[in-house]
Amino acid sequence: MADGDRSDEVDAEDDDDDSEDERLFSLDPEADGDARITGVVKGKHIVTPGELVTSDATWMRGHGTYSVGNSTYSSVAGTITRVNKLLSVTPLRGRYVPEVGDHVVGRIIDVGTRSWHVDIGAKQAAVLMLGSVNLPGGVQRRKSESDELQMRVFLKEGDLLNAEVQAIFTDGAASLHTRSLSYGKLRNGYFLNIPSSLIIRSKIHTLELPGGVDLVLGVNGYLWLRKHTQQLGEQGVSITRLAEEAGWEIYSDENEYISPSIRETIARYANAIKALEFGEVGVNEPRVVAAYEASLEFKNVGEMVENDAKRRIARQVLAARS
Amino acid sequence: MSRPEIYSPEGLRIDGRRWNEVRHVRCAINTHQASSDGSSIIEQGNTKVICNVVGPGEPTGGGVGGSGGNQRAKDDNRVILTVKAVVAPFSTIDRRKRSGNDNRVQEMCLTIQHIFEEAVMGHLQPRSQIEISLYVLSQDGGMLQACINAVSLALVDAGIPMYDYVCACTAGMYDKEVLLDLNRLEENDMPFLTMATLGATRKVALMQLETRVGIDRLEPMMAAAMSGCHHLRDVMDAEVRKHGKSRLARTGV
Amino acid sequence: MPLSLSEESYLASSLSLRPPCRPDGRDQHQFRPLDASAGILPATNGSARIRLCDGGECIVGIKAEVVESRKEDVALVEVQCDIAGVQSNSPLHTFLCTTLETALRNTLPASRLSIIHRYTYKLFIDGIILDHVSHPLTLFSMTVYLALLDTRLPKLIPSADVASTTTSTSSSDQPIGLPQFESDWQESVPLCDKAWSPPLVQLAVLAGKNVFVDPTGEEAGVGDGAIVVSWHQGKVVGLRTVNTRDSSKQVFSASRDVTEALTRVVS
Repeated sequence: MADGDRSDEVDAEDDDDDSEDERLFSLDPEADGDARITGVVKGKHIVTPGELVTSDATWMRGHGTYSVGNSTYSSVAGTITRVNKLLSVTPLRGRYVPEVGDHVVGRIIDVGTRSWHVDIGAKQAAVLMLGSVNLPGGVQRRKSESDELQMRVFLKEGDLLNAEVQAIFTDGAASLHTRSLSYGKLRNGYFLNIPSSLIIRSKIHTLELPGGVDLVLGVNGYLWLRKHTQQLGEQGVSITRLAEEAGWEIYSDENEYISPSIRETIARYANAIKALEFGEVGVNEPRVVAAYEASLEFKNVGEMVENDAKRRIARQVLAARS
Repeated sequence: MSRPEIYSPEGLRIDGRRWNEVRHVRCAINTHQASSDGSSIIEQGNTKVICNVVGPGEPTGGGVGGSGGNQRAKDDNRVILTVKAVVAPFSTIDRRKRSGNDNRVQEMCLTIQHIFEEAVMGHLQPRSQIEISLYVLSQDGGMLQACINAVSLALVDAGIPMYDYVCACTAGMYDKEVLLDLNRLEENDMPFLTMATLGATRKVALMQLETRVGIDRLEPMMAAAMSGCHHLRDVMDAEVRKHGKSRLARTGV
Repeated sequence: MPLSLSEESYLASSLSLRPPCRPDGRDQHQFRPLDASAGILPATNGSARIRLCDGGECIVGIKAEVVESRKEDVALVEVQCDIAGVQSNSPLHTFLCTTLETALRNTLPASRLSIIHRYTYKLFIDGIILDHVSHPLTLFSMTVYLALLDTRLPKLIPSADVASTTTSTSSSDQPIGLPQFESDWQESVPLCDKAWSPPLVQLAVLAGKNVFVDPTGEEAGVGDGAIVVSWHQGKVVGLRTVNTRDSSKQVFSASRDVTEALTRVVS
């Protein structure tokens, strides 16, 4: 099989990751007699399980593919992604796959002896080690056996937290850490979740939104809407004193006073995000704000649960983008 | 009034099909977006099945609490498949009393579980679980084949890696004639087999025959069933592509 | 999955505000949008399917069978259901089925189902709840309601009627007088008409001094209790409390609220 004709177009596009041709499907019809392959298709071509992707052995096989002999087949329904010589198929739908550095929101499902198990909507529960959390008393504090005995005092089943993915185990499970004051137990708000495929990754996932509401936009599709509060770091305390500031209140279950109007704004944001989900619109900060603004035409927040209203908001957000 | 002929001399069956025609197939995927990771509905003639797939996710069957360490050890690094089926009491012409664990249904679940343990690339999903729930709403022959096809579609929808679709079809032998994709009346009247293949290949994932058939009759039945399987793969694949296209168009960058 | 303590307290305090603030901003009497279809299963006398926006889904099929009506205590309606993820014969099954059965037996006059004096129809109502996030009672009841509206019974052939009456007077134990029915489904008679429509049973959640219809799972989780209201043709015909520690006065005002909301939904 002639390798040359393909490598030309491949090399030309290597740097341009965002172009549509990032997803490339190229196959010489003469190269294989399989009737299912129709020829050279570029752009968004959908492959389905069992479909021959290429019979060229020089490609490296990534996720979503398997090989028999020299041929590579797709194992999921999705689009082909190519990074250099690595061919993979990205499924159209699927659970959240954690990556190092992701900012996620999770819920404790199990308390172990030195670690917690956290549901983050992935294939497996994530692990949060006792050593990966800030304990009251600051960073310098030594972990003692008494900490192991009172793990439920810090985080117990049902508790929500935000964290960063620190590492991925070989089996694909994530290891989390909350060693920063922007991570930790979540309170003063309301939880909702949407498909993780709709979350657009960005640098910042803790958003300060108009209306006095913060949104923790977990990359895994778990979201936390809360009353805007001054975070510890914002109070003008020097970095060296942060450690002492981190007292027991970071593990508190008590909410602050939240006014009815803030509660209504939180409900409005929740409905605006559900409208984006309804319209299958990707979610990022500008879109959430746009959806919120579009929602203001509905005076009563309850009107937004109707499908027509959701459709209208989603459409307005999409129109605002272009 | 005489009973309608199973197979008329003109070569027509009760519902007007030729011997090698399958019933009308309608299928859809991603029908239960909010409640499952993957879902499908399939109608083959008047047999109608809904399938929901939840997973892969943290195994739930094991003991709750504890360190979770021993739970992990026994999972032997492969995915755990569970299959549950609910056959609605109103799915048959005469209402059938509900019995908690009907042996036939249990057996069908086990069969489906074995088929898909082979077809799903289970080593890629260590210590996780995939829950498959089937709901048979209406049956008019070929319940097993419809269930297998529905599970295939729902797994594809859930984005779970598989070697290929598993597609199933029945074929029966009436006197000396092979009939493809039997309905309930035909099923009651002749020996038939259910066959499942891995995609459009000749790899057989399942062959189930519950009655005696002369060995010389077996081969034409198998050949017919296999061609039926391949036809079903095309129908299912077309639906998956159609859905994928519309999804890309909606969420496309 | 349990909620965290701070979530619980946030929800509970939002719901008990005056006026309350539901997490999705709905009005106290506002139902969530739902997707309903009837007549989806041709092999049944009546069928319906309802899906809620939270993924809750229920499918109901109704089959009518001809039974002898000589015994006085024969139950003409039987309700059964399957709930995904719940072991069969759980307390939830019993609660759903008996609640609906009672509501139907109390409101459905036997004359609606009788064919001729010896024979009557018996309705088998079977539901499958494919998924439920909120309490399934409201969902199940609405689906049964819709399926009953869709239910049609075969038309009796009049000549057979006469024939069977004459044979039955000559009295024999053999059911020779089995009624004959029109085979044409076009001729069938709907079970419900202007004079009788099925009852509805709704679950409402109490939180503080407020009452909420169509509660979501999280609302029911933090509520102070719930009431079950059976409603039939514009009237409350049954009222039951579940885990309520509140005064009866409030329950009655609640039932009035629920009735208002229901009237709006049905119309």
